[in-house]
Amino acid sequence: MNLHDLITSRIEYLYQEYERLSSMTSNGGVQEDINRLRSIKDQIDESVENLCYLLPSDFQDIVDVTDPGFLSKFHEVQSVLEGIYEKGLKMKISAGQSRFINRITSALDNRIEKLQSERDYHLNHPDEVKEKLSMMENKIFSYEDLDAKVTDPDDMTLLDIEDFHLLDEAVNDPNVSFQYKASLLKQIIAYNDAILHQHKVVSLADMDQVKSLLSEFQVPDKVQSLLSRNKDEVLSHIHLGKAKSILAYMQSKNILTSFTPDALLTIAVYGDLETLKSRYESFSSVPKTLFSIPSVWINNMSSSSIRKKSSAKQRKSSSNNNSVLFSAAHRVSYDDLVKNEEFLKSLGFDVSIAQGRGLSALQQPHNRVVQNYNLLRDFGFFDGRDQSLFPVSIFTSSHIFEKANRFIELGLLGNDNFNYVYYFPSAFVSFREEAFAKLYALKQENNRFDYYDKISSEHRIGTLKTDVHLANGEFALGDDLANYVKDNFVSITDKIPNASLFDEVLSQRDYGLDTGIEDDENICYLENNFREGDNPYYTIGGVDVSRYKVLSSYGALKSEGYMGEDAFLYSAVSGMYLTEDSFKAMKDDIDRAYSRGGDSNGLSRKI
Amino acid sequence: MDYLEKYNLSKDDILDIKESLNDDILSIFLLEDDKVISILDYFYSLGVVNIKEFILMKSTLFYENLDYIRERIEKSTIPKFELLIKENPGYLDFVGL
Repeated sequence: MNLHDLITSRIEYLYQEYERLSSMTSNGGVQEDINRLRSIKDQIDESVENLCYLLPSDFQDIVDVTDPGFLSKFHEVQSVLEGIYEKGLKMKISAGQSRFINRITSALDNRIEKLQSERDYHLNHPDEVKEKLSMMENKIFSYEDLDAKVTDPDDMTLLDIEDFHLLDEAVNDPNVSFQYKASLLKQIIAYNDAILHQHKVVSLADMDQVKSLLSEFQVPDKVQSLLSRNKDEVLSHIHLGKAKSILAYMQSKNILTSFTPDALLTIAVYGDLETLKSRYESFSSVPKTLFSIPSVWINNMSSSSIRKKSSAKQRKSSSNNNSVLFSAAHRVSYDDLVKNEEFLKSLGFDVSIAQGRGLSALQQPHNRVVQNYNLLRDFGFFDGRDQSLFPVSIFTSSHIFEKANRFIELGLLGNDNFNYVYYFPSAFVSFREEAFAKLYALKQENNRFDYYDKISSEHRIGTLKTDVHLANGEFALGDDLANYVKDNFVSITDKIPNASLFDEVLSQRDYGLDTGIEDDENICYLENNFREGDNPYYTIGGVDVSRYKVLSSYGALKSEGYMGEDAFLYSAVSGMYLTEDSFKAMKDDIDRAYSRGGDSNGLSRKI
Repeated sequence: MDYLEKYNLSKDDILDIKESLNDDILSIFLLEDDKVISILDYFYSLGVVNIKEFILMKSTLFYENLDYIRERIEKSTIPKFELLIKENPGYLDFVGL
């Protein structure tokens, strides 16, 4: 096996372990296994004759059922028992056959006891299970990233220290065979050697073999076309034997042409027969929509840690995108799809797997959907609105908290006269980072009237010019974002000691408000001196600052022991693009507010 | 994604789109081109001409099926809705798209 095979095999093992651990604390799962094994044991205890009616596969939990030695003995025992009980022959079970039966029943008892003990331990330690599951998810993601590196023909970087740390866990796993470990070490050396000699070979199959396999199963022409377009990725990842078994199964169930061409190819490359079978057999009737979502037929976790999905700018610029099918293969797990439907339907949103409605939201990690719902609710998006008409595509957005605060600060949300984002929430998805930078600049350069005059549509009151979203036309930066920011705005990390530390603290938080933060004397000062009415913002140094951001950030920092003036200032300026003048004016006002209380030397100390 | 050229997009436009889409939506554009074309043809027939802006502002639309999209638009009671979409694709938010 080459390095890719070894990594894939490790990933499959980790998925199985993940499923096994998940089942320890869920309904069904390991309890079903315990019940099944106990039923088999009970049948044998009731009468040894019942062994005649069992299959070798019934004992797969306790023995290698492909071992010819086991199979031969099992059938021998069954033949004798059939002779005695069904044909009434005067025969006896031999001592050896009796020992075989005793070994089976003893192994069943041991297995049942072990499963019960594991189940009970995990039920009593749910936090430990949660942490283990999270670690396993991250491990699986790391292995998948490593596999992407190893199979990318354009990636000529050596395996590095991080890769070695990861592979080290497989080498040190006592459950892994010596043979696997030896192969792995050998292939690591061979891989780096190939890179050093500029001779990386990634293809597992050749094009003719794959074309021939697809033709054998008479797949639609579109599949062949997709193969040609994604040749590098397919040839470096497909296992012909596995793909053949997958296609054969689909054909046997008459579902091969039910799948969309892209789903069919993705499953053939990244799927496995067991997962496909298990999924198909779980339905009495398969909703048509699912035939277009390949990831529900492939091993995927219901993820507590969101798989990092890159925007294209973060990808290596390469004319070959070697992870297109991979992305489709891991878009959403079946569990998350179902949980999303249940969650969103219960809240009145118009989604349906069976009818293919709201697929944008349904195909997101469940944790993201829940978090985004909570945030949007807290920012008032569902007040006075028919939920069934809300564009559920907003649940696909990342950084809702940060963006909502920016929209408030830019006068586009929570503003009675220009509540643009409330009515056009897809701004969460469409606004480019360049657009935020440009609007912060315009807002600080102009008075309110001129600012809205510049950004408002000439055709419709209360709407933006469409060029704003994409920073086009008059809203173009005229430079790349990094240079524009450098030339026009201060660097918060340069201005505030501990800014990076505060970033790190806030990246771990929940977004709710800490109890009691509104009673904090510094916050009270802001409320009384920098807020008009019930505006969702303070005006500090002439700059509008989202109130929710300040309360949430300062509350989170304070609860971690950071309550100096720098933490207070950071809570106000974080996430903003600020000119030198604006930053200075804000700092002056924060100084004034903070001098009413707090640590007098201004710097936060963690208590 | 060369098929986008039929909507008067240049190679630079297509590259800009490619670089702006997240992995999921990019994989839809690269693997489900028939679906993407059917959706774009539909909006083109409604009068949307700035296809690049349309894709970038409403990229999440491409997770959906055309039938669902059509149903949402055709059930709308907003007057001159097609004109509104042409002016600002964000108006699709009003019909839950």
